[in-house]
Amino acid sequence: MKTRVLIVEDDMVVASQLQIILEKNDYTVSTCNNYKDFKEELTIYQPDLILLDINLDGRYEGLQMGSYLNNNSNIPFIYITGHTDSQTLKRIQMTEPAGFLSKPFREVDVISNIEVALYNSKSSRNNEEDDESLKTYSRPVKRTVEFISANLNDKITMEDLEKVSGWSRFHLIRQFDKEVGMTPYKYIYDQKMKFATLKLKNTTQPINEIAFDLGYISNSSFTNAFVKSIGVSPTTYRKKFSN
Amino acid sequence: MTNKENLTSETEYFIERTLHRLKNNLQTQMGLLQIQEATQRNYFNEKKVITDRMFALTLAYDSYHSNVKSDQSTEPQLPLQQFLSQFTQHLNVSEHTTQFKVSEIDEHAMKLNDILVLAYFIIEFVDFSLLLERKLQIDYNILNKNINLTFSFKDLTNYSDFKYKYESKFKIINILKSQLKATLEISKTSINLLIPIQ
Repeated sequence: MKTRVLIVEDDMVVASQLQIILEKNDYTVSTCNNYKDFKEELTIYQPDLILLDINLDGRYEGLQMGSYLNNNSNIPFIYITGHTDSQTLKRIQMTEPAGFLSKPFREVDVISNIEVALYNSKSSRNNEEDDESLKTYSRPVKRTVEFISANLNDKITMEDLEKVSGWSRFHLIRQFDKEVGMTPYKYIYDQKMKFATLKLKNTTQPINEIAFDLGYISNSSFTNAFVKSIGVSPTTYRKKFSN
Repeated sequence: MTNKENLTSETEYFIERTLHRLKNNLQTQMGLLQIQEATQRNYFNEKKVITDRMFALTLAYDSYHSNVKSDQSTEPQLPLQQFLSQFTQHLNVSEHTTQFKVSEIDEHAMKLNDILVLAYFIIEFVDFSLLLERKLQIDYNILNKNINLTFSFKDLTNYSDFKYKYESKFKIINILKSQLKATLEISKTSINLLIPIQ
């Protein structure tokens, strides 16, 4: 299913330009230009992401909308503005947007901002789910899971995990399997693949960079691990998602 | 706060506002180029269109500079007839295509952004005039609380199929018209743009 983007912008030229850019990049788009329509669109259109002009019709209505989104929904939103003064930036930050698009912007700026915002939004949702499951683990296992999550881009050894958990290797493997449902080795591998699929789906980051970020020393070792886990190569997976 | 400090903060505010305006206007220029590409709006003279848009920006900012006061908090209103008269003079210097006629002298003011959008609208019609090899006449008058601009091409008698014939070219025109909250009426003898007076 295509990603739905809502554009809230009262400048028709800019709104049309954004619509063209997004449709060209395979997003579904809806537009509106005031607070009332914006609230209706939230219910009817249910966007995955919102591009929000700060200064609608000479007033700072966009900031109000940002504040509303921050308090009432998990939809990521990106502000569009020509204001780059420190006061406006402070007001912007208070509403916790997922990004900030400064005019004049190019196509690449729009797409990269959206991709990063969607990626961060998904990661944060996943982290919330992970946090929930962490509550049921014993303290040593919880410390081990958190260590793995923080060091996913490095080589993690069993010695590291023994130190973090305070348990012997044998006891850690047995207890980890009992609580998490898999061995620490399998867990690290699964987490890396989960991270890789998110990056492939939501960013245009080159595959060799993703491999490097996950601590793989070569592209081929990452590809082999990915095929073993997901069933297709990273390139095929990315193409499949973009289609 | 001392007078000097007050003056500095007013100047800073004024510069910030102008910078914001300029960035928005540059975005509009980039937007028009992108819409033009996506809607396959092919100009008779692309270089002239871009040059004229840039000149409209310069002229509007000259007017803004003369009319705005640094302590003004609301959007400045610029004299419309004066702008149109100077702008059409510029259009005639590069190509003798446009005649601007004012039927009544009653100066109206318009926001800087709206004046620019109107200038871009006129540029679209000037390109039509080059394509049609006919001089463009723009008549300016006030009609039922609207600023009425009538566009007509010399010796062109029937406009009934004009929009249909130039459909791809009307996509930008329709966007600009919506931005002005205006109405576009195509009669048999002319094309009228009615912009509500605010």
